[in-house]
Amino acid sequence: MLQQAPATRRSGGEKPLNEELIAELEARQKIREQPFRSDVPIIGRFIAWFRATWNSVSARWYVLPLLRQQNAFNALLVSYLREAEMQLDDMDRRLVDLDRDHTSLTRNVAELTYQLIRMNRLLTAIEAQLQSQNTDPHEV
Amino acid sequence: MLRLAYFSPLPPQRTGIADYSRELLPHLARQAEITLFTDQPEGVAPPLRQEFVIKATREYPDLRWSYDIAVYQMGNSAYHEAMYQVMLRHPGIMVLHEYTLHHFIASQTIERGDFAGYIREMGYALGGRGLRRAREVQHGLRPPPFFEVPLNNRLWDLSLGIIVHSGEVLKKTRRQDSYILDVPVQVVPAPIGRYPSSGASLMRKRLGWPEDALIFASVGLVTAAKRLDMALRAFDRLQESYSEVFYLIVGDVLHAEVEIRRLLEDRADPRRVRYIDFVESLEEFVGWITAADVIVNLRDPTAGETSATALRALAAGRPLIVFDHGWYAELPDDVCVKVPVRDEESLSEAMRQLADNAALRRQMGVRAARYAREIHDPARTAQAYMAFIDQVLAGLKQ
Repeated sequence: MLQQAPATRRSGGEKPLNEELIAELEARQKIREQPFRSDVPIIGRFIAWFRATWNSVSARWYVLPLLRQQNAFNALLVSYLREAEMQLDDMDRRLVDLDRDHTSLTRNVAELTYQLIRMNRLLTAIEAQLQSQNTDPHEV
Repeated sequence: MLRLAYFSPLPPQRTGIADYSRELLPHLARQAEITLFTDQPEGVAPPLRQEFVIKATREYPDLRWSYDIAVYQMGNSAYHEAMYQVMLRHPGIMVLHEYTLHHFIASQTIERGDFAGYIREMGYALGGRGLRRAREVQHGLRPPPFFEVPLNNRLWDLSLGIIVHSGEVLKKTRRQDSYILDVPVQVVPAPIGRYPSSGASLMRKRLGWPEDALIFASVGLVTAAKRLDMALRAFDRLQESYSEVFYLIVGDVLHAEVEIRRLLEDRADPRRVRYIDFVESLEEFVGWITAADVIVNLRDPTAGETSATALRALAAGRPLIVFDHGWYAELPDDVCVKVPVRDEESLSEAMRQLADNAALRRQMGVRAARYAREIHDPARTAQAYMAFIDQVLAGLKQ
């Protein structure tokens, strides 16, 4: 028989499954403003400055709140995923423990079944023997 | 007389376990009342159909009260799918033919897209560590640990008694982490009978090679684990010193694993190597074994199996060359030459040693046949089965 500690009892340093994936999501959850750049020679800096200025007049004040909204949403989602992952991991471990219990019970049932079969055979043989001696088995 | 429900693949199914049962059943039937349970009763070879009551595996749950115990012949291939499902619910005595069942479990789960099932089995065997490893397999980060994690624990835990064919399997199980063996286990040598062969000289003539040819052969299912590439490279080197040596390959090829045509073409002298596909009749199969002078029976990695092919070669009085591990290491030293695993130089040397010495080949062959007769006699195996079954039944909690 497996004599292991219950799977639900985590050993030291055991992280939830998919920890790496969650950590990567966490690292990338925050969207940041990107500075304007231009690779055009000589006037590139001017182009970048113009775009940044134009953006600050036309779009920035509209986009920034959206960015904050998106960041809040991302943080919430990653936190939820982490929680869900922990729960899933926990459920998997509980299933393992249940599975082991179930296996042990199935074995016990099988053992009892074979015992019962054996006893039935024995009883049938005893009944047959008693009948051959003309004795009512229920009166023995 | 005990009434046994006997689960096994049966001839003509192409598995060594079907042949194993064919060897054992006539002897077992002298000591017990046997009903055979198999996937397709109508497909079973006629001699068995005439001698035994055969039922479909799925019928067992309704009939189980009619038998003193069920005996499951369990192996590491898809042939065992239906019996495995029954065994999970109605366990009995398991005869474990291979130590690792990982390939089988993977075929039932991963190959069908059922990763949840695979994760469950890995979790059962290794707890949290197993769950993590299974997820890594699922995400393609690592391959399944086929030989590292045997995935046999559930069946060990379920079974009321276990028969294995080698001390190696028992030893490996005892070595498993956190595993305490509290089920009766018996090592019973696999049965192998002496089969009338189609005649060595007749088979040799069919090959068309010189009468005094020295023939090395690898027989049975051709898989990557049989290391045929290494055997043939060692054989190529042998040809440098011997002019009359030849190599015969007989058996079904697992094409996904082995490119047999390329193996044949890449030889130093392709005319000295012959490939014969799957042989339907056991007599012809044994005939090809007897046609050879030495059987090269390599296996790496080993799944803890007992090689029926190796036993047939021994019974036919042919010396073997094997890798020195697993069950093969348990063979007596005077019936085979054991070489270190994957050591091509030693393999070549072993082939040279047997090629050089006809007297040694003869002596080893005689001892091999005696060993097979004494230890692997099917009647003796049947007796050991019955003694073990009695022991298990007597040990049921009162």
